[in-house]
Amino acid sequence: MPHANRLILAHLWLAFGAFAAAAILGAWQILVRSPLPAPLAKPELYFMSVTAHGTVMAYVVTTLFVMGFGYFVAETALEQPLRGRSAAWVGFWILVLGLVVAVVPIFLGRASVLYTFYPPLIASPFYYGGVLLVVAGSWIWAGLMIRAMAAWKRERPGQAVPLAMFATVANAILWLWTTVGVGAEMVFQLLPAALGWKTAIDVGLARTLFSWTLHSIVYFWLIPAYIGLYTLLPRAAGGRLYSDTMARLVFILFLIFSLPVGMHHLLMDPEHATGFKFLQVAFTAMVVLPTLLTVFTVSASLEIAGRRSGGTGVFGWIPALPWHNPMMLASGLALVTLGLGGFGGLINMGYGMNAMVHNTSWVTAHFHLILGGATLIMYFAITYEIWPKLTGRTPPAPRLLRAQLWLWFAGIMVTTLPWHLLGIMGEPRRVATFDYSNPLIAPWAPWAVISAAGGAMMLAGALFLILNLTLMHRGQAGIDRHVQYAVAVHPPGRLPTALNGFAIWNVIVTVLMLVAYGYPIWQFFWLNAPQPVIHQFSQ
Amino acid sequence: MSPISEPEGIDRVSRVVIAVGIAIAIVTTAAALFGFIILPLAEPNVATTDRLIAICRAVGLPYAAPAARRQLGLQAPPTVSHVAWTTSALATIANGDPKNGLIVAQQCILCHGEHGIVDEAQAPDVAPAIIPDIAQLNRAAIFKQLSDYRTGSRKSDIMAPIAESLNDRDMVDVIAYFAAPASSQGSLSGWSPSKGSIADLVERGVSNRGLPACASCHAMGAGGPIGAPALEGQRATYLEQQLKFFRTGERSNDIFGAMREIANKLTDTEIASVAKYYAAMH
Repeated sequence: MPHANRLILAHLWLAFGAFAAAAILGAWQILVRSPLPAPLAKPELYFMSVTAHGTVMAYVVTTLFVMGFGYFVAETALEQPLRGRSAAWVGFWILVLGLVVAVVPIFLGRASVLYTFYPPLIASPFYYGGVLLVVAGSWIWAGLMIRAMAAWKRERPGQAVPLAMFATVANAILWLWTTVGVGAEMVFQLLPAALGWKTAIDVGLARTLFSWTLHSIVYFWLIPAYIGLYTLLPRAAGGRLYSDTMARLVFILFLIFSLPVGMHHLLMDPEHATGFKFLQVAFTAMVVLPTLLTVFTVSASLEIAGRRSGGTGVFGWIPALPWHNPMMLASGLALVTLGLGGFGGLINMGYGMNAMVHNTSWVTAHFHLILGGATLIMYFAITYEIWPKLTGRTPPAPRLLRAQLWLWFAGIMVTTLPWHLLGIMGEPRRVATFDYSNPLIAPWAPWAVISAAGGAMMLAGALFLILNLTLMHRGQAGIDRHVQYAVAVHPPGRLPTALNGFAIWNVIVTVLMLVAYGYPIWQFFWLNAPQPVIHQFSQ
Repeated sequence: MSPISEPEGIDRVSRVVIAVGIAIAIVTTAAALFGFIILPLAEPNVATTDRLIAICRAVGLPYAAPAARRQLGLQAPPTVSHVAWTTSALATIANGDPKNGLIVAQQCILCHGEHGIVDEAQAPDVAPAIIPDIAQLNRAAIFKQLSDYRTGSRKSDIMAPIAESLNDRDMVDVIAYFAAPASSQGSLSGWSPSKGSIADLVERGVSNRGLPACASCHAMGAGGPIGAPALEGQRATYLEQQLKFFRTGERSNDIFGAMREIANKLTDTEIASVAKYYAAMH
């Protein structure tokens, strides 16, 4: 049973409130790029809006959800109140402060740098400071998660840490590793330049440090979705988790192979030698291992559930699953988007194919399928599952929850499938408006209109979520608040240290990061590559 | 579904963990072997025949590293650019005063034409073929080039002294004078896309040579990174010369060396054809 209800609800409400606001911006942006008339369609407003949309969705909504869900898991999986609840509130308010400090300069037009803020784009120092505060707030969360698991293990020597908590701590450690890259970029490059203390930014180094963060952050977003698939879905489907050991291995592999791989974002950057690009692409390909292990384990868990409900034959167990259950439905929808997004990602990852799609809407489609599709759909389902445990009230009718999930899923598909096509047709990303009378651009128009319709559906889905969450507070009070996670077919008894902690895996990550990023970062100091200098207007 | 016996379970799981460690080591070694040794030696397009240099290039070691290529000369390389795109800089560039710009533009008109279209009959006979049209260029692109001429990031005996005589205000105003009205940008009434390998290169890129589409950064109305110029209708002779300058490193004001990297992969024929392709677009 969760105890820190107010803390968790504060995180989740702020996450979804910010999400709905950013969804409004997203729907407007997609309209601006289409041939349809859009209000206030000016490039400067568009880039302002994209910066706000990306910053809020990628850094704020996800981080807040991960933190809130992490606190929930720490209390319910470890079955004890969270230690350091006041520190957790401090982290929350630091994050809120960071959100305000980052977003205000965006809307003042002082930080239209997109959420990737690649130099030589330079924003107001407040923007970078705000994003750093968001990260600082989340570090408190990461520290509390690690401490909670360590204390639990000390008090119960030899016992296996519950899987949901093990995975949450894997994510906390991943997050600490992840933020080192962007943190270093901001502290040593962007902030000093924006403040005028330094006149030079090494753009190559800045991009390299950002690439360190750019892939692993996606796994930071995704891991709660995987926690849902492993620890909530099997029970919701009426079965058991096929293998607890396999699940632990998967989270460890995600930790290892989401970090030394970011250079696949720099395949078009001539600053780096091909050998390191190849090495990191090879590591990127290794992510297929935990992904396929997950497909196998989740399918096996569901097959157990389907057969228990009377499903027979090779595929007969699939229709026997409880698809009316929102968690079950969401998992199916999330896996569809994850599959499509994953295959798109394989193309981005290919050196030659990346050249074709690198600066096009294809890439935008890919990351919207992963974040807006797989990740958010599972966030919604997890929210629907845990919210009644937080409020102690009956949830609204499942058909409302299912309708919201379907609406959002349809929206993301109608938006991103045309974007893939547009990307192949050559539509660039990061461009505000197009001249559709141009014979090269005219064929894009129908697809752009369809994707704008998808954007409107997603906005409706986001507002529907807020409605459902409001209804969650209106139900009858007094329901059972006890939380049960999925039981494994073979519940873990004693485990080897390596599957009950992260010490050895951190050593492996350190070695791999040194191999993958050591020389590519060091070369910027050693080779003293030319640097662009901040231009100061003399007016 | 009873739990398996504990010691047996622990042993089995420990073996899995060790296997994972060994697998990671094998993958790392194999990837390093392929990336740093086998592929560089097998790569047919490597410009050098020396095996050691091929391997050093793949590792990024100094004398063969992409980042070091610019340093081969005796002099220190020029700073790639001094322009940072702050929102205030972009706002200032967008709001120049075309009236003052007309005064400043008097020194531009002789070569670049009264409306930014080169008139070869009027232009000085030094080298009219290599003077660019500036009428269709986007504002940020002109600003970056003027600024780069002023700071020495881009070399030109003719443009450098002119740019040095301009302050930021003059630059922004002259840009406002030459900038095409937004409505006419990118409108290509008399042109239709063609097919063929050059159209493929421009619109779609060539994947097996790692060449991105030109249009992904130089799309109609200047899609792509801020400062990337719109190329439609640009004079072929000028484009051809600049691509060759990028290839030799004579021009090096492209951030990340992106254009030097691309131009290095193009043949003379391709450079000439791409230039003609863009010149025909109007």
